[in-house]
Amino acid sequence: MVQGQLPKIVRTGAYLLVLWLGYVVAGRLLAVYNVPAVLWLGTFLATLHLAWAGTGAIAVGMVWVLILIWIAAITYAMPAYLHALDGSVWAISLFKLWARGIILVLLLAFAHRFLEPWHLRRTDAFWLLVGLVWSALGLGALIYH
Amino acid sequence: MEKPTASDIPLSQDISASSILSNITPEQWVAIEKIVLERRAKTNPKLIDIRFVVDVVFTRFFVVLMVGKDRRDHSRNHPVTSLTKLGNTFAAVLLLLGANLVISAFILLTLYLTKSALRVNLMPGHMSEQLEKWSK
Repeated sequence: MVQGQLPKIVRTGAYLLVLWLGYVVAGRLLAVYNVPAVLWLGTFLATLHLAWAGTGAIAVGMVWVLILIWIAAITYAMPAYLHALDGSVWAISLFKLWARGIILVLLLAFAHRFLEPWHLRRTDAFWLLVGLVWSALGLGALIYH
Repeated sequence: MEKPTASDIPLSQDISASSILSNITPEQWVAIEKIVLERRAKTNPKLIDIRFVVDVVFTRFFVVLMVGKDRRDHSRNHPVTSLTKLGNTFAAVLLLLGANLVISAFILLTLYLTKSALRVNLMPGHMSEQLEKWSK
């Protein structure tokens, strides 16, 4: 192995693992909150955009997260297995979801920087990230169901 | 009468210009330098200098936000047609409205969730119940 390759593999691998695990949790949360199909679709499209445009898509990604949390706030969304939740706990849980959403948007947006040392073509990096994120979201939903 | 540009000056005159330049005295050079430096806009560190790209799928915009002391040269001349001015104004208004909407939604949601987290009840029931009542 060429000297200096190992730290590069570890760094990229660790980043992609964190990204994957983060989206597994996101997929599970979307399933837990029994999110309708249209919001699943919107989330898939948002990740598609982030995987393609990188940091340029942060603004749109943040707006999508904001829309999701607004919908959750208006509809008083809570995990499907709960029938009632204390108002304060509910608000704090939405704050946490919002923060997680922002972190996931940023993680995916900056993923290109961690793939740069591998000199991948833009389309290859895009498909790698899309495959990773979509599989994680799907697995997260499957784990819950 | 219009001022001649560099390309309008014939080569013979250009040569004479270089001969004029060679005859300029050091005192004259200092005076010319002083005039040029006074005319040039002074660079000034900005208080706020934010630049980023917004990719909206079909096109990409760059956004620049700068705040600093106004030392710009106001005599710059960029002729634009009235149609361009109208288009620019429309795009700027649209962008500002969009940004305003997003920022307002962000602030309102933060305030609403903070209020709920602090157990402050301004109205009976949840927002969804209120909306349902109003819609009936």
